[in-house]
Amino acid sequence: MKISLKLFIILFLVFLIPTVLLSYVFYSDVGDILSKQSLDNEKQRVELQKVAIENSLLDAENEVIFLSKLSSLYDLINIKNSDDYNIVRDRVVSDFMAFSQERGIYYQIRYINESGMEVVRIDYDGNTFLSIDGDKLQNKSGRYYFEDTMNIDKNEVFISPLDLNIERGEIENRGTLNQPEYVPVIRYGIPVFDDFGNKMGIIITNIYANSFLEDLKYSDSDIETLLVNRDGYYLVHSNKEKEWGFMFDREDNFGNDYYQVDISNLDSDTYQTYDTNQQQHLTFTRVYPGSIEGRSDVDYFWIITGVANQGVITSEIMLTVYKIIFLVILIALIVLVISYLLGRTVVKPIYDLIDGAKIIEEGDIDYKVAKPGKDEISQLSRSFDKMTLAIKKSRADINKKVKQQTGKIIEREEDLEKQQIAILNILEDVEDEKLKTEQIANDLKKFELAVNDASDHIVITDIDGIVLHANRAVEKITGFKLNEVIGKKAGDKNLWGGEMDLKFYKELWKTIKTDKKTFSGEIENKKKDGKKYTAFASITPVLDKNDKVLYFVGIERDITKEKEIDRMKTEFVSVASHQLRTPLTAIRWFIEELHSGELGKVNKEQKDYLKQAMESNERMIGLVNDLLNVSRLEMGRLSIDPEPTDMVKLVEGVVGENRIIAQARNCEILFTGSKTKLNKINIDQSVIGEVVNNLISNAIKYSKPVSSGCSISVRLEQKKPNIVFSVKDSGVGIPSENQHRIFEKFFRADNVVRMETEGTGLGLYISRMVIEASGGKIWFESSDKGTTFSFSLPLAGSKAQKGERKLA
Amino acid sequence: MKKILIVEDEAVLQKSLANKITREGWEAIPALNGEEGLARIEAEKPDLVLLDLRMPKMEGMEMLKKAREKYNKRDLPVIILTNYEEGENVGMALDLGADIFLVKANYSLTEIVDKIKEVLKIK
Repeated sequence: MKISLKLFIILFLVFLIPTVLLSYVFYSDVGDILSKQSLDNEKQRVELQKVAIENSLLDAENEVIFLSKLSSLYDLINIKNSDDYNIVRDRVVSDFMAFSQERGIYYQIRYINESGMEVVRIDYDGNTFLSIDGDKLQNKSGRYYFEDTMNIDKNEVFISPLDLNIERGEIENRGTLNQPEYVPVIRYGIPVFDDFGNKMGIIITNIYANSFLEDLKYSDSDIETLLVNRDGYYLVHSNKEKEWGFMFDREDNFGNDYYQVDISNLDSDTYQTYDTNQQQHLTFTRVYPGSIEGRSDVDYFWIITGVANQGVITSEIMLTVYKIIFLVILIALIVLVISYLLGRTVVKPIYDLIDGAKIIEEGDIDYKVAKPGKDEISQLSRSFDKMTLAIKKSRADINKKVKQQTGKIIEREEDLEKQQIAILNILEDVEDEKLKTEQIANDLKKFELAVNDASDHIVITDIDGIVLHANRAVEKITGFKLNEVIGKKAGDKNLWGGEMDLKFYKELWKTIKTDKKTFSGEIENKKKDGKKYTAFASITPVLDKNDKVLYFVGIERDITKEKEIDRMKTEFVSVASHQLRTPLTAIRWFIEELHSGELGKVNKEQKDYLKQAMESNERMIGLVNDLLNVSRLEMGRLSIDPEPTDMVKLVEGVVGENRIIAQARNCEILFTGSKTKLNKINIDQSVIGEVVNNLISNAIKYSKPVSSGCSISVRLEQKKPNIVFSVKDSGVGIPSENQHRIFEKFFRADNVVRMETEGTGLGLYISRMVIEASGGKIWFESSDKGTTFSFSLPLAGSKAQKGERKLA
Repeated sequence: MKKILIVEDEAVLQKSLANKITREGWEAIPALNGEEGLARIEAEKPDLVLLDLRMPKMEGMEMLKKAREKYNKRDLPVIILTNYEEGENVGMALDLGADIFLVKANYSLTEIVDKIKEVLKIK
C-alpha cells in the first residue's frame, strides 16, 4: 500500500473512531435525559392547564348564580300583573342576551319554569346569538338536568357531566351526517324561588366545552390535547376530525386512529403512560368541576395530552447527530487534504530517490540523487550518493586486487617448485626424528606411572572437559571406576560434580578456558554412593606454543577430614572462651575489690602485687577476646555493617585513646588529618576502628625503648579509588626471614618475642581478615629503622555481610 | 535508695556485684535465675535489673520477654550483663527492650556502676 494511502487511513481512523464513540455516548445519554425532561415538562404544562380550566369552570358556576339573581328575573318570577308579563320577559331576554354576548361561551342560557317549559332561551351557535320565542320554546320536563336541578336546595348548583349535548338519548349533530359536528357541553343549573320561597323553575346554562381549548393554549402544533369524559369519550379535540371518538380499551373503539390505554390503574390525578398503538407518551390529569371539592354528584373528566412523542425527542437528538456526522465528514475531508499534502512532501522525495536508484541501476553510476535539506529523506539521499560513490570505489579496488592476485599466483607456483626440493631434503631427516620420538614415549610411560600411583585425584581432559586420562586415586576417592569416568565430562553431575552453584562452575570455566589461568579452590563433590566430600581442586590448562589450550589437568585432594577438624577446633575455641570468661570475670572483680581497699586495708607491696595480677588478668581476657574473634572470623561469621563514616574522626578517636599509653612509653603520636577533604565512606566503624587501634597500639608496643622518646606518625590520604591509612613507627622492624608469616595466626616475630612484650599473635591476623572482608588490602614495609603498616579501603565502601554483630 | 535487682547464677559474681552496689549506697536484691528474678520484680519493684543470659530454670532472654509484657523500658530499665555474647543475642536483647548489653569480663565493677548511673540518669 502506498504511504500516502496508509497515512490517510491512519489519520482518518485516529479522528473518526473517537468522534463516533463520542457521538454514540452522547446519543444514548442525551436521549434518555431529553425524554425524561420532556415528560416532566409535559406533566407541569398539563397541571397548569388543569388549573386554568378549573378556574373557567368556577367562573361558570358563579355566573349561573349571578344569572339567578338578576333583578329582571326576580320581577318575572314575582310578577303580579299578567299584563306586564311580556315587558318583564323582554327585560330578562335582553339581560340574558347581553350576558351571552359578553361571555361568548354559552351554547344556551335558559330560564325554564317550574312545569318544565322554557320561558327564556338564548342560543349561540358560534356565529349568531338568537333569542327563541313563541312555539319554538320547548317543554323540558322529564329531562335529567331539569329534574336534578329542581330537586336541589336553594343556593346549590347542579353540574352535569361533560358530555355531548345529549337529549333523549340522541347526540346533537350540528353538521351533516358525513361531516358531523358535535357539541360537547357542560350544564350548570340552579333553582329559582319567589318571595314566598316557592320553587319557580331553573336557570340552566350550557357551556360550549370547546371554549376551554382556549385555556389550553395550543402554541405547540405537535401537541395534541383532548378532553375525555370519565367513560373515555373524546369530547373535545384540537383536531375537529378526531372529535367524538372513544379511547380506553373498549369494543366500540373507533379504530386505530385513537389511543388505546388501560385506565384500570389510573389512580392518581395526574398520570403518564405510553400508548403502544400511537407510539406516544400520554399525560392524563383529572379535572373536577365545582367549587366544592369532592362532590360525589359531579363527574370529573380528563385532560389528556398525547405528546412528548418519541419522534420529537429523537428528532432533536438527530439534529445533533447530523451535526456530528457533518463534522466527521468535514474532518475526513480535512484529513484527505492534509494527507494529500503530507504525501506530497513526504512521499515525493522518496519517489525521486526511487527514480534516481533506477537510473543508477541501469548503469549511470554518476547520477546524483542528493537533495539539499536537513530532513531524513534528504539525508538518506545524500547517504545514497555516498553509497554509490563507495560502490564505484570498490569496483575500482576489485579490479586492482584481481590484478595483484594474478601476480601472486604466479609467485606461488614458483614457491611450490622450491618446496618440492625442500621436502626431499626433510625426508632424509625424518629417520633421525623417529628415533627421538621413541625416546620421548619411554619418558611418558614413566611419567604416567608416577601419575597413576599418586594419592591425589588427577584427571586430564580435552578442552571440553571430556576425561582422557584418570589415575587410580580417582576411583579410590570418588568410587567411580576408571571406565565409568573416561570419555565423560569431568565434574559432571553424573560423576562427582554438580554440588556447587552454577556461578561457581561458570567462574571455573572462565578462569581456565577464557583467561587460561590455573583455578584453585575448595569444591563440594559427591561420591558414587552419594556421600558428599570437600576437595581442594587445582585445574590448570596446558597450552601449546600459540597459547591454544590443549588439555586441562585437574588435581583434587579430599580435605573433608581437615575441614571437619578445623570446624571443631573453631567451635571448641568459641565454647571454651565463653567458659573461660566467667572465672576471669570473678578474678577481675575480686582483685578490683581488694585493690580498692574496700575489703580491708592493703599495704603498698600488696597493692603492687594486686596491680600486676590485675594486668595479667586483663591480658588473659584480651587473649580470650582475640580467640573468640578469630573463631568467629574463621567460621565466617564476622558481620560487616557499613554506615557513612568520617575516617578522620574515627582515626582521631583511636589516637586519643592511645595517647596515655604512648606517653607512658615516652612516645608521641602525630596525626594531622588528611591533606585533601575526605567524604564519608561506607564502612563498619567498629571493626575498622579495631584494626586502626591494633596497628597504632602495635606501633607503640614495638617502638624501641629510648630515653630520647619516639614518634609514631599516622597518615590518612586519598589515593583514588581507595583511601589509605598508614602508621609509621621507629621500632625494631620485622626480620626479613619472618616477613612472609607476619599475618599468620599466632605468629610473632622472633625479635618481638625476645622483647618479652605481651601479645597473642592474633592482632594482625584479625586485622587482615577484617580488612579483606571489608573489600580492602593490608600490607607493610619494614627495615631495621622501623615499620610502616598500611591498609586501603575502597572509597565506594564495603559490602554488608551478615554474621556476628561485632568484634569483642 | 535505689533498688538494683541482680539476676546472676554464679554465686561469686552475684556476691561481688551485691557488695559493690551496697557500697554505692543502693539496695542489692539477689536472684539466681529468671524465675526468681520475675518474682523479685513483683515483690520488690526494683529501679533497675542487671540480667545474666545463661541461667538454669529460666534464661535471661525469656525473663526479659516476660518482664517486658508488664513493664516498659521507662518503668524498668534492664542492663544485660553476660559473658555469653553471640551476635544474635545482642540484637535480640536490644530488640526485646534491654537498655544496654555489657560483656562481664570486659568491665570492672566501677565501670558497671557508672553504666547503671548512666541508665538511671544519676550524675
